[in-house]
Amino acid sequence: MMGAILKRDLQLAARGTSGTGLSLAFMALFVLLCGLALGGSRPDLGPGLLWLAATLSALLGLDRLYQPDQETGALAQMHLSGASGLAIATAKSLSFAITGLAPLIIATPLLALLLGMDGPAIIGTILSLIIGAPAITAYASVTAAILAAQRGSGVLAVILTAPLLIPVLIFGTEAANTFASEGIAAVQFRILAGLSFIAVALGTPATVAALAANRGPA
Amino acid sequence: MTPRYNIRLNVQDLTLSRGDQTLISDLTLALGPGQALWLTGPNGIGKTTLLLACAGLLTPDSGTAQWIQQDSELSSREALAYAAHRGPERSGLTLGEELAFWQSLNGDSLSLEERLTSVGLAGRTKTPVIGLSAGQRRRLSLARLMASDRAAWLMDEPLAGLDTDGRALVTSTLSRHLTDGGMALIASHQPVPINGVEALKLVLEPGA
Amino acid sequence: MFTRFANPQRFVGLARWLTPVFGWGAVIVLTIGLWQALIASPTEVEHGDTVRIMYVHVPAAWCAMAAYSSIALASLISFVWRHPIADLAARSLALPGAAFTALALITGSLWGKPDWGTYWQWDGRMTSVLILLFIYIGYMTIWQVIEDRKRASRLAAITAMIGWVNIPIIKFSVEWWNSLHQSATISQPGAPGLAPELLTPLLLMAFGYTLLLGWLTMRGMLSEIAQARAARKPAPAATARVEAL
Repeated sequence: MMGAILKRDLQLAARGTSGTGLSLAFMALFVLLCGLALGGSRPDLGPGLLWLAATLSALLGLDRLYQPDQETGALAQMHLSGASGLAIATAKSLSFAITGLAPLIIATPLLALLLGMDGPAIIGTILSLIIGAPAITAYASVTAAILAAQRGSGVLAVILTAPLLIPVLIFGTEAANTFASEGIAAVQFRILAGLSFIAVALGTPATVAALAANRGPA
Repeated sequence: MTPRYNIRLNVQDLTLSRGDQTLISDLTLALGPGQALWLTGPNGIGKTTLLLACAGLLTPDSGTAQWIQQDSELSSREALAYAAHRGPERSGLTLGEELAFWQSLNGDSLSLEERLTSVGLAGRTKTPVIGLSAGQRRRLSLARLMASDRAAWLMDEPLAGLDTDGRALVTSTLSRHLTDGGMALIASHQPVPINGVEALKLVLEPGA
Repeated sequence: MFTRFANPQRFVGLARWLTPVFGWGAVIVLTIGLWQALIASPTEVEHGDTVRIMYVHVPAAWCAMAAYSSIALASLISFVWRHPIADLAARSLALPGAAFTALALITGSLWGKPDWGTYWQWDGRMTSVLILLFIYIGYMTIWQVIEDRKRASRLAAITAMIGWVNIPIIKFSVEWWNSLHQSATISQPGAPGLAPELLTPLLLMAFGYTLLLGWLTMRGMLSEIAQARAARKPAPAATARVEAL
């Protein structure tokens, strides 16, 4: 079940309908603009800016997660075909992590060079993004599921998700900042992992509930 | 030969609304294996809403629509397959990928090619779904119903956009499904010819 | 009591009686409270006259949080038991709750200027209240954009509950962040050593605010019920007839 839904999403992404390219372009542009506005290389602000860039870019593509399948009734059909809400939510979240988030994390080192960051800071930022990714994905999925039947709800999606992501943002940047001195064992990384765990535990049932509430006529 | 399916539908005092408007109130009807129900009535009267309620995709204001198989209640998702008027046949996938997805979700026994051939879309695996004509979409939708192996088929305007061949395909497929002991609820403006099975007509008319 | 008031009709009976009690109660208690707070109570040693802002500020922050917790609780009841009145309560609490949040922020900022020398301090408590305001905005927007009433109530309930669970986590994060990035503030305004003559007006104001919150919410609920009634069309439902083909 889950595998089939994930495969379908990846096939769709391969057709270029998932907006991965746009999110990437936005992220790069955001970092470029930050550099210009802040006067060039700012390695001290690097982790924070990259975290902001990655989160905001990922949230921009939120309305592509459930909304198209809600609109065509594909979500309802998956339900009728026997797919559980959990399978749908998990498959879609994985698809978001793979097509919406992973490319941004992969692009991070390149953009970090733009900001003049050094090796440890770059590795710290990437690691913190990877550990925080489940939290970003979980809350993104909840919001996308809540707004599944709403066209053009991009800004609202950001407003709804951002407050929930504040702890992840705080500990993510702090973890990236302390990586150089304390490595992966820093307490920030552990708290970040804990936040990811809470987000998944909370976000998954909420996504399932929101999808159920949105079932029915579009 | 025992029929393949054995399904009953009991609709009891069903009241449905859209927004603040009550569409259908206290509808009671029963259907058995091999029966088809043709829903007719003007636009906006509540045909689709009734289908959705029977499919369990819409919570009625009151009343129930129960699916029963051999005296035990079945969840709607086990009982039926639903072909919406405008269904999921609009994705960015190719025809082959799209149908293969629904086949794998439903555990279809036929191969992709066989399924496509059964609805007259053989050799079109690579055609993008977006590029299909309205009639071809109907055929794909029909293929999805057949792949589901569910006893009850809920169809919203199954003939829209179909040519003569397509109509004949719907007729023969439906007739076969009903003689297998299946059931069909069909919302349609035009009569759906079905051979050799019992059909009922539900006429919805604006209330006084 | 729980199922008894699931019926809007019964609730309206109670609310008609309770709303004026809340309303007049709020007027009376707030009048006494304000007189105590602004005139009768002594100035505080450390803060001088600016301490009087506390009587407006602290209860507003309390009410902002209490209103959101009530929304979350009502949302839970609405989500699990599909209780229509809980649903209405959650919805009607949002606007007054957001107003109290804004009031807490504005008064806090006005109090911050003389005490901290700045209108905004990235202090854990204050930042959390600002985030709470955004959570309120998100919650209210859900109600606004989702047209289908039943759907909106379930989705708004999910939003409210998720937000509520997150508030302590947000507060913890912001305080932790603050401890890293802020040098210790000169003096932490909050409840200063609460002498009885300061405590009385504070509690009076808190009680008055709560009555005001209750009054605003009840009024919101009553007007929602009236609107729903006006919108419901007398049903010329379709007539259905089954024929053999």
